[in-house]
Amino acid sequence: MRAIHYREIEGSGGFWALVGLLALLLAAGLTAAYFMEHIGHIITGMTNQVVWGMPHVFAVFLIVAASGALNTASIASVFGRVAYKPLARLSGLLAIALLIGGLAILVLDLGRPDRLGVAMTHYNFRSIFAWNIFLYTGFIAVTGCYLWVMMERRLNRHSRTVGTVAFLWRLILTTGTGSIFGLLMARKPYDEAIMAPMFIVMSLAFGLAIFILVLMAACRAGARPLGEATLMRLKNLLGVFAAGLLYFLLVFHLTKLYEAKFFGAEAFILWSGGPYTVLFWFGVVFLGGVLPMLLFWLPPTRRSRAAVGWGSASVVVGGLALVYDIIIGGQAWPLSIFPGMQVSSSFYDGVVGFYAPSLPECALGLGGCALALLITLLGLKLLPFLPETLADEGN
Amino acid sequence: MRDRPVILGGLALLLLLLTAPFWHDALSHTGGALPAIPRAKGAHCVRPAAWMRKNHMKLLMRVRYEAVHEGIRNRQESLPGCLGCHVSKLADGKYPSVRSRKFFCNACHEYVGVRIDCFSCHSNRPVSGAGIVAQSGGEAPPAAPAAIGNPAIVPPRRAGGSSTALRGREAPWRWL
Amino acid sequence: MTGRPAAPRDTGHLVDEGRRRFLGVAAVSALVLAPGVSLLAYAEEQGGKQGASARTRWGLLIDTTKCKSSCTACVTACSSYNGWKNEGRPTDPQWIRKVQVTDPETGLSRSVPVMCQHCAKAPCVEVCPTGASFKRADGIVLVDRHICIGCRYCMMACPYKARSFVSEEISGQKPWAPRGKGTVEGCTLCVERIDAGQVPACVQACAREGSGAMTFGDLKDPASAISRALAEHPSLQLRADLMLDPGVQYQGVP
Repeated sequence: MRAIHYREIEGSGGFWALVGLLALLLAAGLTAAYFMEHIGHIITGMTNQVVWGMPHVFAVFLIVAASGALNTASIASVFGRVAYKPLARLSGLLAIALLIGGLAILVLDLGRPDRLGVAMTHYNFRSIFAWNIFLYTGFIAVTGCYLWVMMERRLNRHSRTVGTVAFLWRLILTTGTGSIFGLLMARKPYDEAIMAPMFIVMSLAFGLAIFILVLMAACRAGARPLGEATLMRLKNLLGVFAAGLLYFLLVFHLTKLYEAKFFGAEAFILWSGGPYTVLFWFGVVFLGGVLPMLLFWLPPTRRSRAAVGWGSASVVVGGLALVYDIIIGGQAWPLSIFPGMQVSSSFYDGVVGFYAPSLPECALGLGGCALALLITLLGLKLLPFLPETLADEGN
Repeated sequence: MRDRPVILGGLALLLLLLTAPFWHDALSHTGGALPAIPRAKGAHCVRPAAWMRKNHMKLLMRVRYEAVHEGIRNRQESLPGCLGCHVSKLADGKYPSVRSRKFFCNACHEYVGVRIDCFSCHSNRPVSGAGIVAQSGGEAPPAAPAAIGNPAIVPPRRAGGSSTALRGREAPWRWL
Repeated sequence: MTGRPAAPRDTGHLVDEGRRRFLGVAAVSALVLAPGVSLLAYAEEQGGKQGASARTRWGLLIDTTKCKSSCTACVTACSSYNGWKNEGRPTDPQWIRKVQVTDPETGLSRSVPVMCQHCAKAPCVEVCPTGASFKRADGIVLVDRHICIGCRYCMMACPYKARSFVSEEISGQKPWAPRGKGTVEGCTLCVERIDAGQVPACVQACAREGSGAMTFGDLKDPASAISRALAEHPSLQLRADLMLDPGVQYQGVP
């Protein structure tokens, strides 16, 4: 086992162009947040029917992916798979970057973001949100420590311990994120305990997909050879996670279909919901699961590096579609205050909630993504996160 | 060594910025003059002025917690109660805008540069019987609670001074 | 202790007294930290003003057989008293609304006023991260809009869509009903009126201009009008299957 040398990537014209572009996106997001805070949420598409919109789709996606991005490092430190060790530092950096991006979106979308201090000092511990505040900020701290013991040679012997803490922390964190929806008994599309483990599998899939894309891009930008063995290993793992996600979705929807009271909500997502149905079958099932598995394992493409990239991108798109369906599709389906009855009122009772993403919301969401990528890029530039080579040994 | 001018210059700038609260008065157009606080109605406030200057926030926080969480509503010690004495119509017959220096709270708060956002939600007008009908556009809504903001109802002075009322009585959530 | 004269050891005796006093004060302070005792202490300080008490539980009983579809007295009264307006936009607040409920099988249709149900086990209270959504001792569920950060999780959690989010700047608020952009609001059961011994605005309007369908009172008092009405005729809670024990109950809902 040869020693791994890590090195910062060098800046180049392309690098700084990308940084500039991301900074512009971030500025757009901050501008959107400014107007949302000053004028109010009236400029967004969020209403009293659909109270969480695109910002939350992006934020939840980023936070779920952040937890999963750390998986590669966990496999190395906690499960002792030496082959993943060179990837561990980048994994940690990406986890922190994605989480900060997601949190930034959430905080800036609050109705009163100026009351963040209140949120930090007043806690209702029966609320999963309150726990999540600790879990998210703690995750940054724990992963920071993890990176530190990985990067400081004298502390390397603590990698296993800190890595295990980080691993358990992210399981609890993702369970908490899934429980935000899973514990809501008021809404038919939610109210399922399986959402917690489903979110964990989602995190594994989305996090690894983003990790692969960032790894491939970083190796190309830094002129680091990326060995076939490493890439194929990651590809197979992502295929397994995508299959796992399809399995959880199957169990989730089958369970709901079995109960008569959930039938209406399920029918809405699965066949009568218009855009939500299209997003589910084409976005989530096909792009998020079936296509990646085909690309990763069918003979014509299974050795292709491009296929790995496209497959990962497909998982990311499918992941966004899934989070959109969960958050927005779940709110669009009307509350059933009078089960079995037809209802109508001046407050949109009984009708499917209308929602269309607005520019400020998308700008804010993309701004958060840009922030995550900026942190990753600048981290790669300033500190040695990327190994000098990831070529296969013995080549 | 050739960076020394830059470093020293940066340090000087930092020092200047950190001491800004002490010298910026010389630059301000009021020349550092104390704010002109509008006169209030009535003989005296619910607390001595010196005490209020220092502790009004604590009083407001306690009254806020009691009123919202415990339903203990003391007419004189409430935001409308304060406004009842401290806010009057201007010469043109209108109430002062929250952002203007003629508004009682803002007169000091603008001077010290501490933003208050009470009035993003709370009405900045005193409430009175006749005022309610006029403010609601002519049609009288169901009767407002009788004594909110009524300056005529003054609670008895607490024995033992007002500071005892605050010590150790902070709302439970304040302990975090 | 035996055989020794009990010589007065002044300093030792005083120190013991001091220790006992310290322990006593410490114990009492610990007790005073318990909210219940400090509430009582507050009450004494306030000269007898007790505030909300758990001895009461406010409730509302609505007899929808008396509700006419065309009558919106309760909605109008609430909106003019509290200062909110619903002009039909999806972002407009609505603290109380009339829901036209029709049984598709029989065609029976009733107009049902729906507002915050003031549940004993309110999900909105459980999910609020800062504790801004809270239940008062007397059962009224409120939003402390000083602490609300506008995350809207309570709106996700409420089974009755009772809450609204204020999406734009507001001006001209009623002095007794502060409300502002960026926070969540809903029916307060006219808490400041209840504290002053009056009934909620909707109940008063229903009695004066509507058909007297609403009864308001103390659910814990067996002699109150609402308790007697509940004991005499069957009533139901909305979404009773969720076991939230709302304080608002209905009669005659299809």
